[in-house]
Amino acid sequence: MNIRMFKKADLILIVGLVLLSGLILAWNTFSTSSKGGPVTAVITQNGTVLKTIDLASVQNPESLDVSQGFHQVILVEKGRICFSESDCRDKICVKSGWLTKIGDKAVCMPSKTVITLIGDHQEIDSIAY
Amino acid sequence: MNTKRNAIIIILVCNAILISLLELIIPVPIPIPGVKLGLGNIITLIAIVFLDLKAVLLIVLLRCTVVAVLSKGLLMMAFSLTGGLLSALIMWLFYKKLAGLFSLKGISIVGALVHNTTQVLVASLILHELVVLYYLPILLISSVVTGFITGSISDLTVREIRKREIL
Repeated sequence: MNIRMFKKADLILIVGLVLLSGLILAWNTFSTSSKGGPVTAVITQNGTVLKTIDLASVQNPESLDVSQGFHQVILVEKGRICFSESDCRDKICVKSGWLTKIGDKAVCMPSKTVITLIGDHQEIDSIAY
Repeated sequence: MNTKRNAIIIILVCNAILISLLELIIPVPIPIPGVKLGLGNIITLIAIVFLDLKAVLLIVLLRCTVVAVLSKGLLMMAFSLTGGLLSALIMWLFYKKLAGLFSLKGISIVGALVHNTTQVLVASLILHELVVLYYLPILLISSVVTGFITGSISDLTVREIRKREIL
């Protein structure tokens, strides 16, 4: 059996996956960012909504302590929000950076905390259950 | 032969644990829970080529448990175990049934895909929130890249082992 090269099915698989991801990416972008208007940040922990913030109405930068088991801080500024400090191992949440657009999301698995940006037409129930 | 089989399993388990621990040093540029290089997959693929399903699952089980206990803690064990075992099973099926169609690289990409998707599904369960669709495009691309890298390394290793008639 020749295992040296690519086979036809390999290439089909790769091209298929790349196309599929392009399609979903286009769908995600199209269905969220085309809608303007106010952006609301929803912070959930353990599946329950901790806080919702209208990002446009934030005047002064504010730090939210969402520590649960370990030190974790969320920073809110006008029009944007991010995990600024966290003592978790991977720091995936901090690396996600600033969230600014509707549909943006940052997740911290160890503390089960999620920030999601939604538009005003969306119900909170539709993203957290 | 049973002694030889056990020896091979032990060697593969040790290598898998070492590789997975080394991988923790390499930083992942993509901030998505569960996405990683998956270097342990190299050993899983080698095991699939040369050993039976029972041995393959045993190797994955031991690797995930030891690495989880040593590094990530017990919550993360749920991730590595579900993703690791399911992807090993799927890759074994692909290798046994569809090896004529797919090369080891293709099978490795399928494994990475199953592994990453399972991890984000488990993440969704733990978070009580569907994060899958948001992450899916990046997951698919990263599966192709990481699957290709690990598949190529396994491919080279398997060829070398065959050439030297070690197994």
